[in-house]
Amino acid sequence: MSTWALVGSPNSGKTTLYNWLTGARAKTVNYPGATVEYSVGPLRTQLSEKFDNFQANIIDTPGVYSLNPQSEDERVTYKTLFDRKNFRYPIDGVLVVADGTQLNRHLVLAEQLKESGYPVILIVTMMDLLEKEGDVFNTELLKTKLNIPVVQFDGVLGRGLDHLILLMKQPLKALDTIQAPVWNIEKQKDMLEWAQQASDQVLVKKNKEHNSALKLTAKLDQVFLHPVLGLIIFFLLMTLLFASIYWMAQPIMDAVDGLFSVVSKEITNRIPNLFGDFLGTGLIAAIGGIVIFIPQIFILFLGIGILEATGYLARVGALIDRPLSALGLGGRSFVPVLSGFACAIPAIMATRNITSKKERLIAQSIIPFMTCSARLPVYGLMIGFLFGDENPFKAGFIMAVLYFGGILVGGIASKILSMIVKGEKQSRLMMELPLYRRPRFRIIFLQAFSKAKTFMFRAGPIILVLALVLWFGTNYPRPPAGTEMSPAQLAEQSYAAQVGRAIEPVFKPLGVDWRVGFGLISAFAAREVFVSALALVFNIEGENEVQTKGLQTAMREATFPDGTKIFTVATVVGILIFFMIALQCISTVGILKREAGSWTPALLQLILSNIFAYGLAVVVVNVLKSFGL
Amino acid sequence: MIIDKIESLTNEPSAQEMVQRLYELGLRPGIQVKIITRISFGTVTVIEYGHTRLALNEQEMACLHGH
Repeated sequence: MSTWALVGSPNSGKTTLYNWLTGARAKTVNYPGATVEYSVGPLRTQLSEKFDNFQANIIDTPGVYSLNPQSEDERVTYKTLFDRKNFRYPIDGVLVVADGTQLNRHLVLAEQLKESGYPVILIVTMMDLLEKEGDVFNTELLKTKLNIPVVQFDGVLGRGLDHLILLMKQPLKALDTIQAPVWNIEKQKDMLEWAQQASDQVLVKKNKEHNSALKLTAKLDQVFLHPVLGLIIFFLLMTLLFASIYWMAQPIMDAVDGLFSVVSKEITNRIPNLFGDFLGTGLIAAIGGIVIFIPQIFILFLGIGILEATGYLARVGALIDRPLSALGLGGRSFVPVLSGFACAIPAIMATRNITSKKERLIAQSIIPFMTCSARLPVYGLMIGFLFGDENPFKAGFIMAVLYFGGILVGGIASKILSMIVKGEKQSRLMMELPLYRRPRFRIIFLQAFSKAKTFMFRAGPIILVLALVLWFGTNYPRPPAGTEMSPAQLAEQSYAAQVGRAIEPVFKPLGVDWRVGFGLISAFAAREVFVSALALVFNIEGENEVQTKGLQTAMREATFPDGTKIFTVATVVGILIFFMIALQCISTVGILKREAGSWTPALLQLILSNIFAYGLAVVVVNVLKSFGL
Repeated sequence: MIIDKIESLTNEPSAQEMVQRLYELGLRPGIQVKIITRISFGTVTVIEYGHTRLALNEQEMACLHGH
């Protein structure tokens, strides 16, 4: 089986081709630097069967401008190609991907790769854009100029794929010395001139003045890159995105809530004894606690997906480079930080695209403060508790405030770190602004769906284990044979209550009891599990009439033994503040360690952010309580 | 603006890498670039050459010398 690496400049269409070749659904976006790690996949079965069972491995690599790596993501590509002893999949050939509209630059990389000793096939992408402009592309002439096979590829329809596989099927020559050619600036200059001439000759423009994609980009940039209007539009778009997560999802969330209440009630009534009780009020309620937030997660990913696909995000990076520089970051940090609103793990990996070590470390440290999708269920539940269903716009506004609160905390942390961490004074920007493209809604929709599914299945096993542990903990030990005990008495002497009483002093200053404390501890497995843990602990423990009601109702009725309410405005705000600041996700700590190459920053962040979150939450809860809230 | 030379004001390795990257992005002496706008409180310049739009900060823009 041969192994082929897809190599090309950022945003040239490598991942789109990778998806066509392997059938994968790797994320494709319209900004440079989206791929920061290599992906490997076998040639799709249908393609393999179509070409006499031809087998090949395809490796997608982060974009590079040359074989002189300057950032961590570029080093990934460099090692994939040239660290042949240590790389798991020795490369047999390189598929160089070049944007047809940028041939005057991208041909240089093709030539450099040819010099490295690898067999090379050049794939010219964005053919749909060239055709739209009426440009004529002379493949044969380019083939002659480069002396390598050339394939035209259309990423929308997949045209050119068969031709490419036929070329990959040709017997490969044995590899001699594989080495990255080192070019000085003079050589680079010569190669650029050669590429410009070659590009001018192979691409005949029908009408030099006419270019609708460029014209559209120029028009849109007059608005989106306006020094003042551009900033206003950015803030409005972000507020709209964060607020819509709440109010757009609300009707669907209500429907899901109703459905789970009915199912939970039916199961509890139809299946007798403890097992029915476990299934209905335990497991189903816990799963419902998470599923209800899927519409919000979906809307979040859909919103980010649309922004990514249009080409707008790279512009925002440039637009807010100066304000970010004042905080020790730069425009290149914007996309990774924004990705943190979906999930911190890929976002921290996306910082590989940042050239400056100092900026990269600061960006990695502040990403966990961004409101990731796992915080959404907690925010949704608490905001719902505060406002009910009556005022979705006010609730949406509070959601936006929480998002901006996370940004503010991240900003302060960034400023402090920029004063402590040594390194370059000014970060690199040098950011390509891609042409605007119309989003392909089907793909964005599928990607958002896939993310929401991943979110559900990530939490699923943890919820199941929690449900089992908690059900056992609250129902055992059973009373001796012949002894009658009320559910309240049973709960009082249960294992869970015994452990709860031991840990309660830690959570008392937050104004909550051991049950909420249990939820806060469970959230270290995954933040969203907090909601399921509350659903489990309040439903299993509650009286029968409470069991079939929603979690928010159970929260409203939950009291301390002296009859005072557990969930008040003060305690709910305290919980929100804790979740806004605390680093609870253990997977994020693992990624921080991997990307920084040391446990020190990861563990420091874990300890400091949790202490700070706890301390601030305690102060706020007690201040609000003193106002009678 | 037509670029006359691309040169950094300092000889630091990071500055040399910056110049190298400007070349890799397709900028070279003789090429015509159009200044589109200055954003981010005047510190970022957006230039256009061919089909490429590039945002450069002050330090990067200072490497482009032209008339």
